Amino acid sequence: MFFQDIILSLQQFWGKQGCVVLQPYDMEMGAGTFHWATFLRSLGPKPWNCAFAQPCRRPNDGRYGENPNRLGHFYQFQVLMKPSPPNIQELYIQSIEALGIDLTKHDLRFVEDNWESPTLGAWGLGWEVWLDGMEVTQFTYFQQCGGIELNPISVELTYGLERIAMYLQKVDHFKDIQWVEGVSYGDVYMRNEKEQAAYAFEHSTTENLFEQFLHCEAESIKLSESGLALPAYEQCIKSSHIFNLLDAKGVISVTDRAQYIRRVRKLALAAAQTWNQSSEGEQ
Amino acid sequence: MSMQDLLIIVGCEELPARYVHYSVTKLKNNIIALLKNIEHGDVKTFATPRRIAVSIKSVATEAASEEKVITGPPADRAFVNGEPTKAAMGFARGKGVDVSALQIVEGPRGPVVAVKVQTGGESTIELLQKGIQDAVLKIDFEKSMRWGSGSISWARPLHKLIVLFGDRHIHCSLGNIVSSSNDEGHRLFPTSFPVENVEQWVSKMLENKVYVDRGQRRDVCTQQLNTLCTDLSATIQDWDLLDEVVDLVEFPKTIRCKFPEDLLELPPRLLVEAMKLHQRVFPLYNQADGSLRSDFLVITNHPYADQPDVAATIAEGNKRVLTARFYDAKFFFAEDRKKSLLEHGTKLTTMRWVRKGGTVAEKVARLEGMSSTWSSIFEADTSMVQRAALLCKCDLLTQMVYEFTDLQGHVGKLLAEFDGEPKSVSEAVEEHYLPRGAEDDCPSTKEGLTLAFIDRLDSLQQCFSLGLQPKGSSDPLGLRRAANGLVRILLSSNTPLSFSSFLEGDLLDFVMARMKSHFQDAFGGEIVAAVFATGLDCPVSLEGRMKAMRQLSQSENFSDMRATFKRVMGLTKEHTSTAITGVVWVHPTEEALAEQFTSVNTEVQLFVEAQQFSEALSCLSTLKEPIDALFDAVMVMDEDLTIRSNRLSLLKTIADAFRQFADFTILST
Repeated sequence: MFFQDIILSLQQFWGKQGCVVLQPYDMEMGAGTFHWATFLRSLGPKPWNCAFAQPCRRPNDGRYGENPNRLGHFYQFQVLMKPSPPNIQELYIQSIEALGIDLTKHDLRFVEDNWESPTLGAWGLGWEVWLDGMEVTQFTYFQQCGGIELNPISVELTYGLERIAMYLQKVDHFKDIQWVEGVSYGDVYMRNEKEQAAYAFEHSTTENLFEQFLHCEAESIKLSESGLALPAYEQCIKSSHIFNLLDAKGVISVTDRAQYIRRVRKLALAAAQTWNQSSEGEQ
Repeated sequence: MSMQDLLIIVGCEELPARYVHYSVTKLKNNIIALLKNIEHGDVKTFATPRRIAVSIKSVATEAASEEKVITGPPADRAFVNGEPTKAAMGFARGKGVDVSALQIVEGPRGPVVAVKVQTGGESTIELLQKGIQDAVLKIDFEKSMRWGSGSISWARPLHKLIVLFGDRHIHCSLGNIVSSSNDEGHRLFPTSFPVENVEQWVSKMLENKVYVDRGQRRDVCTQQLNTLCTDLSATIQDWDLLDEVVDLVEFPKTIRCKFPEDLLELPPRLLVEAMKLHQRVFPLYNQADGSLRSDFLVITNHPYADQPDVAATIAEGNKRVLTARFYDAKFFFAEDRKKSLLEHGTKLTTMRWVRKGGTVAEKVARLEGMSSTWSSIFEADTSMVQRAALLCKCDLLTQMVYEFTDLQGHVGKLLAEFDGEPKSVSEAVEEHYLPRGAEDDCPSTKEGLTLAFIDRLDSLQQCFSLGLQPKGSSDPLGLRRAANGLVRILLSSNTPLSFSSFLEGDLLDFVMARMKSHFQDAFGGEIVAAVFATGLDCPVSLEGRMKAMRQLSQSENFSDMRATFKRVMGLTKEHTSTAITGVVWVHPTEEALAEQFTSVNTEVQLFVEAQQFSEALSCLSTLKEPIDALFDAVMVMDEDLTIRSNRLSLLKTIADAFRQFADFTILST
């Protein structure tokens, strides 16, 4: 199955389950959980089901394209269902089968995983799903987001698309994944991996990044105070990404690291509070 | 009333492995508590990641009923002129009956009012219907969760409840789940079947590829692993993994997998950690020389994993994961080796050690400062300890330790070796983390012992001075473990050092308390209390004495001996002098005892100096006979005060000799 067909199959499958199939969020983020459709929409009482592929950037994981399994830019497929349906495990298994994986021939297991995002003030319980020993999906029942106890509970599924593709296509390097007939993942993204790694590790201008962080932080605080949850949250995501860039450059001391994470979390908590207040006001 | 078998099954989404056995044990206890007045037979539990069950044989359909007479206030206060008083009405109300139901019975101090009440007779079915939800939901998990729109919380979402009593399915609820009569097997065998009794359920589940009996599932795993090991001339060393893996599967099928041979050039510990911690698979070692192999065993949850094509598919997946991980490790290790260990450590100046406790670099500087004093105590090479102190935390900033945290110390050692550091330095870098816990070994080299000791000592001293001592049961900084480490390091290196010679105040008390609890686990409370009464605070001398005391206390005539020495100690409690004056001895038994003591005591002191406490004690115990002879022949408390005082002084000298081992009066057996 081609890389793009994996995405299409998952979109089609979850679309049929009543999920709103969204397009990627046009902002840099470390994980699909940062998408407002998961983070903010898991808050509050309104039911919400969505599915989308999200490009993720983790500058620190960049390896100039040389490491076969690590990328500074990769894709996650996200599903969020609120409230979590009682048959969600069965639905998930069907989605795996929709990728052409015959479970009478593969060992699928749900292995305990407690998920936590200190940056987002979020945590949940669930599993990493193992397909023949390989973690293919993060399966989480969100309990808290932005420091707010959730009710009802959302379930989040995060598929690691490159991994699944490498396994299905039996290739050993991400660059060899067939995106579609005649076009490889390397054709599409190799240059990006190289240049982005060079940028993050060598060429980024530290002073500029520190300054940008301060701007985003101040802007986010101001916007939350003005009751504008989404713009406030976007500035929070930006500050998080800038922090990741600084971290990759190695200019944040271990002591300061925790401090920066706390600062981003503060923004996320404020945006979540703002979102909750204004959306409750609507009803 | 009749007897019926009870079977309770709770179905859920995959439990964390460590909750499987735990939750079924709790469920069993809760059910037994719920049925506490109901007569029943044997109880058995079943548990897999997706279901826990309790079966109880021959459960009575109701609690045995009995009539009880409860007595109240005296009759003359309860009724005045035939009219009930407030006392009578209060009593009746308290027992839930009308005043007219009160009777007068004869009590031990005259007539009293009484009421007959019926107890027991509760229906088992009603108890189950009322109590089963609570029995399931009150199992407390370290972390629990909610799901959907429900309000109940548990370890993972609950799906099913089956309550079978005799041949009747009892209607019960659990949150919004209503009990059902059908169960399903393994995920690949979802056909549901009616549950008829426990035996039928167990065999039907096995047909549907679930070993519900945990013990049986564990045996199957062990057997499969052993069979493969024999076939492959290999051994397994990491059996500690088994209990977790048993609870990751419902139907174990073990297969052999292999990663590329050339990856064996990576440090074996790294390969093993990655296999165990990340993949929960069993590394294999060559039977011949114990070396690590490139094949490993995976316990799958796949009923068809013994079919060659399925086995090959699953093995391929497991191989890919490990190979990818090892490839990463190889990359990190190569990257890490581009810098010397010391260079890795330059950023320790920015790494916080503990909150308000400065940086790791500052800690390292303190360790270097402590090196020389402590090296001479442990007879280690000062310059080696100093060098190891400088290097021991540097690996915290390597990519390898970032990825494989449990390899801290080991990575440091490998990099130190690569840098050409002396062997005693690289080994001390690794060993300074030992002992990690109560089961762990202590460092094997003197340099390792020294560094391990000063690292813990520094942590304790700093944290106590920062007011970070453990409170209650929480000990986030591992200070209890650190203090236990000090005790164990002194013991394992046989270093006769008193804690009071280098600790004081709260910290001394804390370490003493840890030492006491360490010894209590090994020797029991009584011997510890008796030996601690010596007031000693050197673990080596204390342990020697405890061993000797334990040996002595197991000897045949110990209780006679103890009686004698208790008497000696009792008599001399108030007598503080050991001075002998005047006439000296008036009876031959006095002189005999005095002489024997003098000769024995010289020997005893030599043994004590040589830390041979058993020998010293057995020497001392030869005094029992002359002491008994003295007690038989004379009254110690003679009317002549000089004679009395001399006898007491002699006994006091002997008591003191014993007291340097233990307070015998504390021992009961």
